Amino acid sequence: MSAPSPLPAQKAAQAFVIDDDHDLRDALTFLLRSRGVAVASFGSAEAFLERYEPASRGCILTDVRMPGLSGIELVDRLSALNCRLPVIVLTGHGDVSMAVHAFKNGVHDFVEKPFRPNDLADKVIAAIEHDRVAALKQGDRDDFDQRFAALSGREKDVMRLLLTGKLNKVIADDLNIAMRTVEVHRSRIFARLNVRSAVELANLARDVGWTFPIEA
Amino acid sequence: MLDTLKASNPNPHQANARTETTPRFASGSWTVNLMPVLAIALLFSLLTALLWIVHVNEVEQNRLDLVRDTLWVERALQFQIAADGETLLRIAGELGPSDANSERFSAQGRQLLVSDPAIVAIEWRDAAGGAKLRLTAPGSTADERSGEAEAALGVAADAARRTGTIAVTPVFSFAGGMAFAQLAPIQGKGREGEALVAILSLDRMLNQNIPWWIAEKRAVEIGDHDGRLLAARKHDGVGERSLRHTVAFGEHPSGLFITLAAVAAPTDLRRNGLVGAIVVLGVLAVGGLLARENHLRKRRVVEAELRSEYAFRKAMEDSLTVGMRARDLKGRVISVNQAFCRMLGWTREELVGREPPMPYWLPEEMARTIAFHDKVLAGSPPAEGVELTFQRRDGARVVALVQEAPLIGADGRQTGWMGSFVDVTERKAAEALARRQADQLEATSRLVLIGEMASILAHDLNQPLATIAGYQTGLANRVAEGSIGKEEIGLVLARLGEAAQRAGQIVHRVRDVVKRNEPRFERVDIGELVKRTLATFRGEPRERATRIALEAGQGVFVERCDDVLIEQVLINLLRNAEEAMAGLPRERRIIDVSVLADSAAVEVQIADRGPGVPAEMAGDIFRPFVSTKQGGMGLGLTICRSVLEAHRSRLTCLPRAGGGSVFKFRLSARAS
Repeated sequence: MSAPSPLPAQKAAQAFVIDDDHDLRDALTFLLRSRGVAVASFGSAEAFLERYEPASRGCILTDVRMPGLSGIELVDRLSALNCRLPVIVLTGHGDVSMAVHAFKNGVHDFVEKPFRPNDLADKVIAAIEHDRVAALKQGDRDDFDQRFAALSGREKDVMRLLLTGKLNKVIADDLNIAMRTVEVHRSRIFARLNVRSAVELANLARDVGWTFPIEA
Repeated sequence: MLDTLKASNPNPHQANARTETTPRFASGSWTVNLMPVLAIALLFSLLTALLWIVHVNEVEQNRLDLVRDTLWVERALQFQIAADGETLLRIAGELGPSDANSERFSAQGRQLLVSDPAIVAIEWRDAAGGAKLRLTAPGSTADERSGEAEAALGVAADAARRTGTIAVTPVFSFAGGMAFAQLAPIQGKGREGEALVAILSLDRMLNQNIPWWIAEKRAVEIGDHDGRLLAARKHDGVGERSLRHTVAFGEHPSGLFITLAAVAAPTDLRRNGLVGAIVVLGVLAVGGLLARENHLRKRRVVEAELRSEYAFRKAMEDSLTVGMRARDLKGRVISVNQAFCRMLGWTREELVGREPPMPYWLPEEMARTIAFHDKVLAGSPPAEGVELTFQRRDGARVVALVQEAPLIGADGRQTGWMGSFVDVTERKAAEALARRQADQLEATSRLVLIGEMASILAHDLNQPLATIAGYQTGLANRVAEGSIGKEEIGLVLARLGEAAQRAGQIVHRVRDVVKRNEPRFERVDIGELVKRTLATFRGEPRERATRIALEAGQGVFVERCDDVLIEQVLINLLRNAEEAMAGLPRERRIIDVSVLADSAAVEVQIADRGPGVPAEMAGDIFRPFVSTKQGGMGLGLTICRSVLEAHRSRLTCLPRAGGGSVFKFRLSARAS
């Protein structure tokens, strides 16, 4: 068996392993660390929730059957906390109705015991990567929103029409302003949002999942 | 109670017919009741009329007799008087001559007195009216004469002299009675005016001159036209109301009437007796009629009660779901009820009168049925009854609980046997269904339990197995990377060992649970055990009757045997055998069971005629979860094998010569 490549170092990202079985928890910790994953382990869902911060990055690996909060109940709680960490659930015997419920509440993946340890580790790594991308996207989006908010009202109007793909001349007619004025607004918008063309602007908005806010 | 019902009414058909004709009988009853009354009344009035006619005839006859007698008496007395007169005339003639003397008078006079006792005195009367000579009848004393008599005599004497013949005086009193006189003139010289006088007493005339055969039945009276009674001959039997007849008493003496009164006929007694007899007869007849009517009414009441009682019994009998069958002492069927006919599909007419073997006896069960039949006729029916299988006319089987009781007749002697048949087919089927359902439930619950156990086992084992896999993979990853030191490897290996041990403990725990049901060995009579098991197996109700032929020795002991487990093995093998032959015709469905013993071991064989074990499965049938049966769990033979292995034996399966399978096992006779 060849060892998979370690995850690129990322300070905050780690796997939160939650299992009441001490031996299995340690084994999972040892396994994930052997793949270069940072691990924080907890004996119960309650213990994890105590330590949880919204800024935590990475993924959660939890057993289903536990005294106290079960794995599924934990998923419900996290969903209520608006936590976006991907959750991988470990289960002794697959239960379809439980799986459906779990997926509906945003469970990232399901792993049935007995499992191949490296497959599990692959899934954990994939989940951490997924979280990282999602977090990046979220950062770009926040940045985009801030820049957009700094635009003047007329500039927002021009930007909306730009994103629909209209030419400067048409925009000037629509807004009943001089074509020269449109060009000034355009260059201001590009400077504020740090793009060089209308195409680039449209691509950025699409990448961060931004759509033009509906005017109240 | 049913016994007596049957005994009192052996033929319901007849009784039924009687019930139907009853209304007609009742409507004609008034004529039946009135006819004898009318007849008796008619007879009675006819007899009365006859008696009346006889009575009237008799009265008429009596009257005629009386008239005849009266006339006869009058004539006889007149004749006597006339005769007296003739005699008197003759004597007077003889006294006429002068030589006539007193001697001649006396001689002739006495003769006359004798000839007619009514004459009380004879006188020779002179012209002056005095008596020259006089003769008196014995017993007659009075001779003094009243003036009336003298006058009458004088008148009569003149008349006699004038006429020269007899003259009769009117009646006069004489010697305390009434009398009259006849005078005959004596004619001769010197005799002018003289007369011969005879005085006749009416009393004496009546007493002496009426013959006994008249006097016996008649009272006689003589009276004058004024109605005065002059003389009478009385009779005790004559009263005021007696029949009387009166005639004029001739011319001498004139003006008299003679009356005869009839004595009441002595025939009255006979006739009264007859009338009395008729009255008694009438009373008896009417009394008898009333008694009969009373009896009939009571009888009708009793009959009505009997009919309603019979109808009640009949309704009760017909509503019974229990079949009833009465037999005589030879086993011939006397009577069956509707439920019995319904149960077996034969009609009453076809069954009554039949002798065993009965058409509904099942050929397969014939020996058992005949044994029961003989036992009953021998007088010892089993009190708890016997369950027998019969064949309906349409071929369907009926399982009935049969109970027999002696049938006692009205005279208290046993006339046969009464059997009750309770159809338990449905109950048996229901029991079988319930048992099958219970079996299925048990099997299902066993499955659920096994599933649950497997689930728990899987979860518990999953944990250490996942732990082991995790450490192993992690270790492999690190070793491949070359980033692990010996110390850390040792730690991980220690953890691996712990996890493996934990898995081992779980397996031990499961084995402990299983260990609790270990067999308990005892000394067991295998022959007995097999027989008992077969009885249990036969006792289970089943749709398909399968015959089991057993060949077993007695007292075949095995030292080390758990009888409960071996019974389970036998039942399992018997069920398999039965199910294997389910498709065969009934007569071929035979399970042969044999128990063969030698000095060392006992061999039990269970052989069927089923399709046998397919060759490709022969090696697999003892493995768990392998089954040739649809829906089979594939555990039966596995369990059998385990049980026999615990007995240090082996279950083997061989194809049977002629088709089918033989399952056999040997149990060591010694405890080894």
